[in-house]
Amino acid sequence: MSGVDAFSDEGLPPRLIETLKRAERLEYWNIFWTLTIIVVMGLVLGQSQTMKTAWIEDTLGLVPPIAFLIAARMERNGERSRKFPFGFERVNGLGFFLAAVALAATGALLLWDSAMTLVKAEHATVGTVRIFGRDIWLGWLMIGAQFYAMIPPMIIGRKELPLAEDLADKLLHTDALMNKANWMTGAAGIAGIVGLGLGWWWADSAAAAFISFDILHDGLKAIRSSTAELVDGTPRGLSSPELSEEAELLEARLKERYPGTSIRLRETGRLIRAEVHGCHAPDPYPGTADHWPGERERSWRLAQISFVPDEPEADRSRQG
Amino acid sequence: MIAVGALFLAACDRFPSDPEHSLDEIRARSTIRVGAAADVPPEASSLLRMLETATGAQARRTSGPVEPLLQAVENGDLDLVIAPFRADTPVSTTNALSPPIRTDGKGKNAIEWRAAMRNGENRWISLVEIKARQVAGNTK
Repeated sequence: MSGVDAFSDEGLPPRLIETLKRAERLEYWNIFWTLTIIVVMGLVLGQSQTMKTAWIEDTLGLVPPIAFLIAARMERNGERSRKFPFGFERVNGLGFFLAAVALAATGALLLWDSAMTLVKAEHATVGTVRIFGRDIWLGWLMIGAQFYAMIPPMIIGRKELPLAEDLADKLLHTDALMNKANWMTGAAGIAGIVGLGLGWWWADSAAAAFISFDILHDGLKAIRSSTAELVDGTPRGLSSPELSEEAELLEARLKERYPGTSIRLRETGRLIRAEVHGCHAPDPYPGTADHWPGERERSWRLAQISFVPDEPEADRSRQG
Repeated sequence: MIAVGALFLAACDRFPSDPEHSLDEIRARSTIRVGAAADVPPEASSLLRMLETATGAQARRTSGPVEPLLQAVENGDLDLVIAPFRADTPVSTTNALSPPIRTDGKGKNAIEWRAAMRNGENRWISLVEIKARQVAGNTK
């Protein structure tokens, strides 16, 4: 890139560092409660396909918070070096991609497994266990475990959403949505066990297929968003693979300020970087934040604007 | 959620049910079709007596090699097979096995006498499991 005038913001504002720390604390709680769910569900798994699928989904639920914590730590503490001159702000995007691939792959495997169980008409056995001298149908314990598994994610998901929006964090946002939607998995799981209890052998596998389809759907949506970032696509919305509203407004603002230029936007983690092709930086430069079209306190999102003037015809022919 | 709750309340007294109605059919025909090896321990007879009392049906025994008997259970031609199994038997994936009613030997080579039922017949399986625990408890 020749003739570049770059103005960069080196980090997050202190208010956001505080929000990031709050999100990290919440993710530690998330991991703790998810572990309790994994243990409770694991104790009553039995032969139920629904329970197995829900248990794997709960276990997978650990991936986004762990990826987020690693990414946040590297982003906050990672030193810029000769080997990593841009720091680690894109670790979040990498974590998002890995979590998305793990989700989609597991969803696809579980969907295949449930479909095969349905096709082969395998009947799941759920017998009794003896607890405190009483024989109890294991299905009751499975239903209890599913109810328990619905509560912490619902609360944590709601708490995560506003933090994810403040931080423009797709990984945290995906985790929040997955957690928030977990009641659906729980309800499907309970319906599967209730159906099994009623003697509907197919209910268990059908509920498992429904849950796996949900996992696969989440994974594919996340893959579309995360790959867009990794291949320098225009910033996508937090909860959809469509272009983000902030990016659309920023592009419009830059086009208005610098008519006749070509605008390229990309996202590195939670930050947006813009390139204005076809002009020099204005003199005096009004500052990067001045180009932000939305609320002032969100202007940290725009980390850098680079100006790339057209190369003279003679230079271009020499290079060719 | 409401639909699940309603389903749940309506279903409570039917839990668990047999997809192939094993227990209902045993009661209707007043016969428990049992497969067993020629020589069974006294605990097997105790289990059958308890099941006869619980179902109001008479046990009718068929003897023969274990594998064909297990296949007959899987096909729904028998209700129960009482046989000796190793602790790590692969049968536990093809048939539902009750808790052991008697264990001969110790450690990895222990032989456990169990009842095998058709997979998924959860009401019938639950009844056999409960009675098998009682038999095992009575002999301790």
